[in-house]
Amino acid sequence: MNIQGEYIFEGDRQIVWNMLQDPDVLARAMPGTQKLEKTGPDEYEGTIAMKIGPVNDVFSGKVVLKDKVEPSSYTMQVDGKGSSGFARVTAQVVLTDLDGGKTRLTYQAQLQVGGRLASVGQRLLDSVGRSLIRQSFESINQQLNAQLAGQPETAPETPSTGQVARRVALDVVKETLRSQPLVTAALLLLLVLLVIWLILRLSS
Amino acid sequence: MSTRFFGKSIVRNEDPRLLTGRALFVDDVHLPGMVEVAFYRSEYAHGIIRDIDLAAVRRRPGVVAVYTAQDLGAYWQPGPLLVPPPPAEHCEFHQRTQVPLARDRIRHVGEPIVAVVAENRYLAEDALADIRVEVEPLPPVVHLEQALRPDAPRVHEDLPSNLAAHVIQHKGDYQAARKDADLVLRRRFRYDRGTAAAIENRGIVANWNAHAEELTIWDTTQAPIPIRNGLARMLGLSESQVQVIAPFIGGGFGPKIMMFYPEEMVIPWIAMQLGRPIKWIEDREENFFATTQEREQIHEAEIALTREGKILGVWDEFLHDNGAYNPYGLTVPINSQCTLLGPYHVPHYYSEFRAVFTNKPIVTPYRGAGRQHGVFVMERLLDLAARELGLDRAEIRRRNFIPPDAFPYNNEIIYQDFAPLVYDSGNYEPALDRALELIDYHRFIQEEQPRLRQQKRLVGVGVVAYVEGTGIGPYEGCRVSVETSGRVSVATGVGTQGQGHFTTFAQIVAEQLGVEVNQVRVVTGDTREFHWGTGTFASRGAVVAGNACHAAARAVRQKILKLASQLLEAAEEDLVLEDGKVMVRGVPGKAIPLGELAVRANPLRGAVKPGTEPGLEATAYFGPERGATASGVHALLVEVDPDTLLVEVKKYVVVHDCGRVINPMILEGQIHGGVAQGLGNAFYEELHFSDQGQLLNASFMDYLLPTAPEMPPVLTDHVETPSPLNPLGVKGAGEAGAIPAAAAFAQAVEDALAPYGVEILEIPLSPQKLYALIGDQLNHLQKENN
Repeated sequence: MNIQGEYIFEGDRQIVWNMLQDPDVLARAMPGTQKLEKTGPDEYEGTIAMKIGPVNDVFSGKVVLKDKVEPSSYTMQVDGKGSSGFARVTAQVVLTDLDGGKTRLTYQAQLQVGGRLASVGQRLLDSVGRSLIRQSFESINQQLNAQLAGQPETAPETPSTGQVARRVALDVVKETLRSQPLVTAALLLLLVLLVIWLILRLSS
Repeated sequence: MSTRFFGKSIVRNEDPRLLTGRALFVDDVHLPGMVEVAFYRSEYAHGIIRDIDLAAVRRRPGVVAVYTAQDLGAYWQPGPLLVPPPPAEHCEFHQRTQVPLARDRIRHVGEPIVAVVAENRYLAEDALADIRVEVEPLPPVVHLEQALRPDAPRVHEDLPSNLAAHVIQHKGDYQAARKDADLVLRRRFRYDRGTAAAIENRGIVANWNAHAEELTIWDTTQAPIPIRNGLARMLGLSESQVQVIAPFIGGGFGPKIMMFYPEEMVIPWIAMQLGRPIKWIEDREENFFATTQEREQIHEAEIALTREGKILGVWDEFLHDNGAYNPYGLTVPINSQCTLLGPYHVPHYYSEFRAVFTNKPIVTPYRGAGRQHGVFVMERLLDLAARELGLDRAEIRRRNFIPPDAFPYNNEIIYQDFAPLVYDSGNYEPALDRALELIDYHRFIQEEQPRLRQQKRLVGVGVVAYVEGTGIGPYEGCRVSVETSGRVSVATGVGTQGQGHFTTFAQIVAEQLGVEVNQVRVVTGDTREFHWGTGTFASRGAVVAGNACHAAARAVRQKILKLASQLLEAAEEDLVLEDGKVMVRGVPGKAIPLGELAVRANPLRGAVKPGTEPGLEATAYFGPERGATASGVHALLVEVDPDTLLVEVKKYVVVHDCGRVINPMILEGQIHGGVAQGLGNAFYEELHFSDQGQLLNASFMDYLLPTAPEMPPVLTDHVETPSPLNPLGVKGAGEAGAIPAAAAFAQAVEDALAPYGVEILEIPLSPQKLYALIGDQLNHLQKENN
């Protein structure tokens, strides 16, 4: 399975690059990360809690960065293993300069999963995966903004599993609405009708 | 012959027990000190086991023992080959059977690697999280067609390729016949995988009694006697030390005839090691990987016909997916090969298949056992030919039916029982006529369909014919005893999984002994009660075990008549067995109850005459020389929703010929269940594997089973053409509902979608697949118009 996308950071390439290599930044940014430690040059180990539909698990694994061309591209390989299965992600990350000192990150990730993660979680993997990536980038961007604003390094609070799940759900809904304008219209209409009904009911 | 019980819709003896929850299933077995097992299973489809770390799991509280392949020592052996390859004209076969626990290699997702025994299942399952298995993944073989490419990874590294078998059978000379044809049609057909999804998963309880030196096993198997014999041999015990009980089972459908499952080998061994009773109940998720499946095949087939629609010959070459191992030999592809011929006179036939290994769960028979593939290919070819020739679909079938005076009819190839494929009896046209009448075929085609099409409604009709090889040998046995209470006990070796054996066998015996059906207590599937036999498969229970019951009951009847004739001082010909008594015809009051007769046959004092046996008991066996061929016609009406492409089956008709019917109500139930599974296979169910061999829909959230609302009203009727191969004249009926359903469904949907001109060449279908088919066709039309 492939997941791809992009994100625009409000900082220049070098700063973004540095942050993406910093385990502390990453640990704070990736939802569910319980720990992430640098174990060697371009090697990290850690544990991450994830909920993908009915699969709720703590994965431990290794992250390796390869083919680095600073500050423009690298390949990230993640091998994670939990009691519900395994995941292997290979992601190509490319950073390009944008006007106004911004940076565009594009990624292309190949995802291989096994065990219950595949047999039960498969259908949710795509949307959950995309949402988790978006949440991570958003958090990095916040840290980046804080840094650029010269604020002391206040770690954003690590979100709870519930918060992460809520954001995933919101993302899935947003995606649906974007891709299906008719559904959006119908939902809005329904909402309006509901409000009218409520008003009528209350006034009677 | 006038009957009192045979052929009557008698309510089932077993239902009070089943409906009030008193029936014993394997999971109902609770023994003091019992521990439970959970299996650590492979998450990879293909790989090498590099390391297994059990340090943490062994320390975990509640864990009693942990076993890997290494711990099994010399007990670790690949399982037996159940069915050797048949003596076909060309037959290459490579045997690779499953192992108790994977040792070095992993060949499919779900293959067991470690067994964890704990105080209960909760602890055992939690403990699996502590196991670390390091696997070096290998590229898997997933797609059937890729398996035979020279650069394909090999499932069994010691074989030169993934070819498991190559078989050629032929009749006449197809290539010569083809030259005379007015029409030659060639198509490629595909039939994909599904799972039987029995309501009860597999389960085993094993108890080693060290004092008595006896091993007792409760197993959801369809073949308790072969399980007992095999386990005794593997464990170095005498057969009399091992008792296997197959109690009530919530559906077998074939996967439970497979043996020996890894768990079946491992659990009794562990019970003997630990000296404690041990239980394993498969959960639904495990069932998707660890229980065998069916039925991926890809056929390249050709039919040659005259202008009048007479078949000159059929040519077929197909690939069959074995999954990772082939313990069941070639039964499934041989069934496809043989059943393709159907009820038709096919003068020339060439059939060649290759069975291949893939890194997917094992394939063994599941209700239909390859027969539906053959029926699908043949029926689709006939439909396409009818369209080309401008013939009516029912008519092209009628023109090719084997006439009733041509039986026994020899197809000149070898069947799954190794005997020549000879149809014993059949009369196909009356079934077709009756089915057309019940579905109101001609009116639908001439009036209804044109009218509804005017309203832009997509409605279609399907009608297909088929045969089903049933009731194959080798044999079954039965013991019938009249007890001193006057009740009758019957024991037979076949297991029962819901077929109503407790009633049908009782009917057969009651008919002979003149007792009420509910006075006959039937025991099946307990090796202590009866220990000769093979099992429940190939629609053979009623035919083979049924006739054994008949033979044993006849023998007891003879004993009753002989003894009663002495006691009543009347000739045997003048005696009547009725209402649990032996009476003298025409002499009211002169009678003796069967119970009293049983006492007299087994006296406490006095002499039993030399040369006679005590009691009113007899054991008999029945083995047919070959299988009995059942047949039938399925017809249905469908409507396709033009927006969603969901298919609604409006009406479903089955006219079936399984020879003499023992219990019409039970038969109807069998047919209904089969149709449900057939429609599930046709439109709802499909196992999806990723390129990595991962099963992507291993739960009922994603694997769609038809439920009551999807089931159409099913109308059944019967034609009775007795089999000359057994005294009861019966043929099997267990798989009849499932076999032609997909072929009939495909035809009806194709008919409904006729405005789009699509051809349906694969099963299962789904709204998405229909959408793609219609889309292709629309694109095609657009291009033509430009």
